[in-house]
Amino acid sequence: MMLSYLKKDIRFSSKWLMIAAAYCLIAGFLLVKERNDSLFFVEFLIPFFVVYFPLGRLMNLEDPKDTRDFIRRMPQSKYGRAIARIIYILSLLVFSFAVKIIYKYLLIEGYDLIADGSLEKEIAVFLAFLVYFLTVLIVFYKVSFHAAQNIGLLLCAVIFLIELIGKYTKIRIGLPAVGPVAAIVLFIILIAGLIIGVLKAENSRTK
Amino acid sequence: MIEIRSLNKTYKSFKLNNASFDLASGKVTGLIGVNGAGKSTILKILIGLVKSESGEILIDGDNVSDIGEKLRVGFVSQELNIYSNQKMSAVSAFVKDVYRKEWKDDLYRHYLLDVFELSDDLKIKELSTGMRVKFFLAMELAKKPECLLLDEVTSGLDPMIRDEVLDILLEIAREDDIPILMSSHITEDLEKIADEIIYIDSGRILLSDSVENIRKNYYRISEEELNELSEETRNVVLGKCIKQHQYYVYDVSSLGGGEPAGSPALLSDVLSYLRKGK
Repeated sequence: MMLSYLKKDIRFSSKWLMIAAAYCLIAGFLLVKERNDSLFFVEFLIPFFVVYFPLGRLMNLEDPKDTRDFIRRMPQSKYGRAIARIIYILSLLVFSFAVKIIYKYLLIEGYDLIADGSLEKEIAVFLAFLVYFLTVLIVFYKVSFHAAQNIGLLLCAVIFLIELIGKYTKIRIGLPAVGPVAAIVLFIILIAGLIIGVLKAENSRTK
Repeated sequence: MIEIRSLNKTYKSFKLNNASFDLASGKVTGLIGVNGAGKSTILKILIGLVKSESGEILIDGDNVSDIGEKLRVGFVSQELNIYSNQKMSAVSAFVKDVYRKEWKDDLYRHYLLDVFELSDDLKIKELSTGMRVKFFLAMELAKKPECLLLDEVTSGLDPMIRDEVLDILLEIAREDDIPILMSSHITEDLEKIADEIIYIDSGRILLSDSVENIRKNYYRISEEELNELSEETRNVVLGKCIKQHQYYVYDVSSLGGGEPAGSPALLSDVLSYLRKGK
């Protein structure tokens, strides 16, 4: 049953999946090549849009009340629909990170995922995105697509603000005491909570 | 037999009040009332989209939270803004995949292509209201439902297609021996196919009876016919009637067992009679 929902998600967003894949391959290449000593845009823009294009499309498609009711009436194994959506997000994230890492290997001289602590950084960024998309999913299930979209805008605004503050002032906003490994542990705890949140949000929509 | 007992649900500006009725196999039950009377709320409770605050749904004596817990339910509503950017074939493929065991592809093709004369290569948003109803109905019927719930599905259809759909529904109820609950505010539709009528107004069921009984119990009488009655009978009728267009509608029981004068009232007359609190 869960597979049926995953198949549906892939089928209904197929056009956007192709656009996301093309974007990932082209923009990924260009952003890594023209990185100008900063991988910020590579780290942020590739996974964000690769997941957000098709996921946003699906959420938009399923946002009308009629569609939500239509899906709610359908049978499912326990949490099947939510798990299918989480797998969908995870697959896109893995794809975007794989492409990103391959481009780094190909285009950045001396890049080594294992040797210089990059792996921990990649995992931490991966988990940060997972936290974000799971939050989006909870808000979508609980409230609406528009509310979920605003989380993205809010996050974008915060990121750019932090970047600007960091660039033009001496203020540094972040968690300097937390290294990648500690961040990974924190993210995993957070993600576990969010996954439970997604499952519950998807399952408790009868009012 | 599906028994619905004392369903209650309160919203800010609406209260469903102790709704109780039965749905019998092989019969079409018409749920009628004005917009906002509580028809959709009842249907949504029955399919589990809304939780009632109290009350019971019993299927062959077993208490269930919604009908789908025990029976395969087909449900089509007037709200069909569903996956509007997708092709019909993609939506039906998804539904087929989810209802793998119950789905009968030959039935789906039969209803879609032969009965409703639709092809499934259009996008949902390209379909007219009538075509959408037909498409979603074909998908629900392909699941071989054991109970069919329909929420205002005939409202957006033109009269010719409405009659076609009504005939199909009646045939399904009789041949498959399943209960059909059909909400509508079009009394003519229910007069054509319903065996039982439930009339709901402001969340309260005012009438739940067979069409046969309703026809026996409520009569309409014209001015001329009224003048031909004895003065005593005329006074009784006038004391208990409502004026509906050119007719007076009254409850036959007010005559105290006497032979009713006039002809059986139309369903719309009866509903007006009940609504005006006679």
